[in-house]
Amino acid sequence: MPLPHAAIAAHRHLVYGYALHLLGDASDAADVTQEVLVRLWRQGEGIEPERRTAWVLRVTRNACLDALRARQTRRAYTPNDALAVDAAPCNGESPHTLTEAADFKRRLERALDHLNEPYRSIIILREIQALPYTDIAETLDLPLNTLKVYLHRARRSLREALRAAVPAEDLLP
Amino acid sequence: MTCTELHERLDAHLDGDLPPEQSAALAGHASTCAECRAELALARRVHRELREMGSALCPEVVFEATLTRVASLERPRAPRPPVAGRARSHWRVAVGGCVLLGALVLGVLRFPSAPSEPMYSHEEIAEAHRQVELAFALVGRAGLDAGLYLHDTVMGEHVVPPLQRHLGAP
Repeated sequence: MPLPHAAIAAHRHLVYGYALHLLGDASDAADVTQEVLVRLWRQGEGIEPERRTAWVLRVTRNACLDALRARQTRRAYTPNDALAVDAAPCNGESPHTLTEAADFKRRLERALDHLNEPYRSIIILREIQALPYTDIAETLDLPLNTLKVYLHRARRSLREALRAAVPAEDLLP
Repeated sequence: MTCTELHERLDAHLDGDLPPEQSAALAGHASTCAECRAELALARRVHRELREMGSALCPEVVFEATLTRVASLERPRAPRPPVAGRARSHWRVAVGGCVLLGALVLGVLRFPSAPSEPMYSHEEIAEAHRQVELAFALVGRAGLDAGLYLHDTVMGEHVVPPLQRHLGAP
């Protein structure tokens, strides 16, 4: 039996956010979101409620990887890229601080974009979307300990990419 | 705590998974080692920036388009041809059959068949009989060649006599 609309609605932001960070393109993310939510509706109550999140994320990831293979390139998702400096709250900070903050954010997004799978997904799901380890492990079909090792590697990889670009004195308070 | 230990436990510290005494030891080491202090600051900043990126919200227009698709799938499929139409076509077949059957019955009643007379001479029937036997002999040979075994009873009781009767052989 198909799912009620409310159950589909409950997963829309999760699906869209994950797809947007993986694909780096709002239009492609919208297409994937529609596909995944329609499939979720069709599957209906065939999926146990406690496994629904992992199912949705796994289907989203597969759809995104298919889209990336078709496109062959990945674009970094930069929500505030162009407006980073202008839109950032001033709070009395100097132009140098604001520029440095925007630059750091841009470098971080680029470093994330250069991560391979499943490291990229792990960072998106854990660090950005703050999902529990169990859901991520089931989504990526990884044992919990392996997932934690991979997360550690992914974080270290991001830090290494940023360490080379950001002077230590800019990091220290 | 050494620099290596700090690097190994950095993530657990940021996740709040490190026991308090180890977290205190980590902070203590960072306060005395500039390199580890910078590493800790970098890790904190990366962690914070990623959290601030946040999960993007699905635009309403995307969700509305999804619901529209779902609604189109929920709608019942195009109706099949009305039952009355299908019944009409069945009636046509039935009526046609009755007319044909009636014509046959009338034809038989009106034009009864003439008394049967032999259509072939005895010589022709004998020749046909010989041809049939020859044909069966060939079939039997072909059967043997093909590894088949034809029972004489089948040929002798169930095939040849009915054919002979049909052909009017003596």
